[in-house]
Amino acid sequence: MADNVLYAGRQLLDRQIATVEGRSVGKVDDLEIDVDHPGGPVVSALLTGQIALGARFFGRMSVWVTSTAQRLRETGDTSPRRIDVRLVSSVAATVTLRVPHGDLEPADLERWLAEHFIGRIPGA
Amino acid sequence: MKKLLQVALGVLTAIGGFVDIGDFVTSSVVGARFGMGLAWVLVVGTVGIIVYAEMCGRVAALTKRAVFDVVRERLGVRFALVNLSASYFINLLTLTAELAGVAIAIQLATSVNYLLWIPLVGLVLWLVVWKLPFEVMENSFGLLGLALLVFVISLWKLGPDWSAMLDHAVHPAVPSGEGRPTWWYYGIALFGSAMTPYEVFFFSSGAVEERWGRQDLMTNRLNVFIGFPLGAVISLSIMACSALVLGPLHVQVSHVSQVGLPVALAVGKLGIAAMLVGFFAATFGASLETLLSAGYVFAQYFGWPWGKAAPRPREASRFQTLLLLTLFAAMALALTTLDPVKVTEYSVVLSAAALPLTYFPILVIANDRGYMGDQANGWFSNTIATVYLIIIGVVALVTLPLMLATKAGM
Amino acid sequence: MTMRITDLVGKPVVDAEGGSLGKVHDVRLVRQAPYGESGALRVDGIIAGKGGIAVRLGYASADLTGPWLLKVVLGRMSRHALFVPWSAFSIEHDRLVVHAGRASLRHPRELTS
Repeated sequence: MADNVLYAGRQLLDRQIATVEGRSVGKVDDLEIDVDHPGGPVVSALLTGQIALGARFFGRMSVWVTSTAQRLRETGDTSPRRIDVRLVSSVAATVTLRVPHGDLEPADLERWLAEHFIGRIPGA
Repeated sequence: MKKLLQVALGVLTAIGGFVDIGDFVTSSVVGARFGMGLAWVLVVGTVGIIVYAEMCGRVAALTKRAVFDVVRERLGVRFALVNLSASYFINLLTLTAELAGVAIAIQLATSVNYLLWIPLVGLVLWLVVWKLPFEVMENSFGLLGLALLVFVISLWKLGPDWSAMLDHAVHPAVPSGEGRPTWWYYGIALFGSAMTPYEVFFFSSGAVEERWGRQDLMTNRLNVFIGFPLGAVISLSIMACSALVLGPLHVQVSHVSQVGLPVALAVGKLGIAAMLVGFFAATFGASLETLLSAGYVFAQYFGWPWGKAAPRPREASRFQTLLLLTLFAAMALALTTLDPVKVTEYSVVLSAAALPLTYFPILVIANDRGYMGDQANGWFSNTIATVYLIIIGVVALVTLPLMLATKAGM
Repeated sequence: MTMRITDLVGKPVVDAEGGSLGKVHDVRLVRQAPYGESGALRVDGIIAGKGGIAVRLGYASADLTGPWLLKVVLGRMSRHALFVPWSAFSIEHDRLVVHAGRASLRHPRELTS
């Protein structure tokens, strides 16, 4: 198969996203498609985190996963965590970004737990 | 010594998997009730875990991805969520039993009731996962667990009729007075404990922690070919010791102290001391294995940072929170005086029912050349793996009906 | 306008006469520029058909040749998979309608680029 072909479901979706130094960012929980891009539709962003993931479940489960995630947002913004496709540097077993850990906003729950719970334990 | 430490991951994985509290007692119960008539199941299970753990280690070395990453990728979010729930629940049950097991080992040495030790054991366990580097953990508990080789020495000292024993093992028959379904039920329990999925969760995550790469494929093979057979040999020795000593006395094994009787008889006090050390290390190792696995499956399903991907605990706050919650839940369950032996027996049988959800995606990914390149499975491992996939499928289908029919081996 | 890839995956696919072509199993992307550029991954089209699990596991592609038993079973399940180019379908309500005739559609393994 040609190297320039990628099957989104099998080779991109559900893979681990890592920063340039190998820190975990999240999973590729969904992909955003820009339908109006000149020259045909393109992938515009990786969507990651509970809000994007929740939309893939059915019914009550979906509502529950998405709404608990949205409650942690301080801004009231309810859109999923978005990583611009231009930040991607390679796609293999891991989807690697070209930026370091410090350049990315942390996930909401990670930040909340670090501030309110784990960060308060000695040695954290 | 360095070479020896390289296989510590495999040894700890196997000892924690094969000779945790449940297997310790199950092997003994089986030995006392069925002699060596079910030894073949352990051999079958050991070959199975070797084949699949080797694939997991190979995938981890080449892609830096552990088993539950693969499960989510190949099964998709919904099926993987079913596996996540089942695996987490089984891990929690096993952890509960192991915590009690560690406390029982201390009770045997101190004569202070095990329930009083559970909070302390929980605290130490948490400190180990909070601060101790992975390598130190696997080296210390893996190697201490080798003290259980005292069962091999005991067996040799008991001087059995080896040829009669082998004959019994290769011509398995259901003993009179035992029902065929009960015989199969215990067979499945042994098979489930040999192939219990937390072994591959732990093993592959450990390989990622140790930053295995393509150059470590040999280390991977050494780990599985030394570690798992070692665990199996200890398990078989426990079974044989029980068959020799406890079987003729018609002892119904229900407590850890009874498992040690043959050792006391054959080697004396020093043997008992070695057994206690080994038992402590094996149950503590299994506690670590199940607690961390509970965290790994969640972190790898949701893509959270875990282990070295997060240099400080606060950078893996979701993973660390989950470990704490899991540990508290297991301690609370253990303090309800649930019988740890029954709890592991159930968790081992339940894990037999959940095996395909973990091993099927591993087999698929190990064959994917887009993922594995030139290290994809060859025909030899594929042939064995396919046979085991069928066995696992059949076992998964019959397990729960058999459990109900035999009232869990009564 | 943007949409999500999971808005496509799993949707029923029908031909112009309303006959079922199965469901969307995957979305084919083509890398037309180096990573880092905004249009690096072009959405080429969808893979539709029956036997979605087999496609998802990779048995419609040349990457998976084993183990033999799975190849036989899952390869058979995925043999009717069809590639539908982006220009050849439209999204209507909760399904995809394919305008192109069935004869012009090919199995994903027969595609060259």
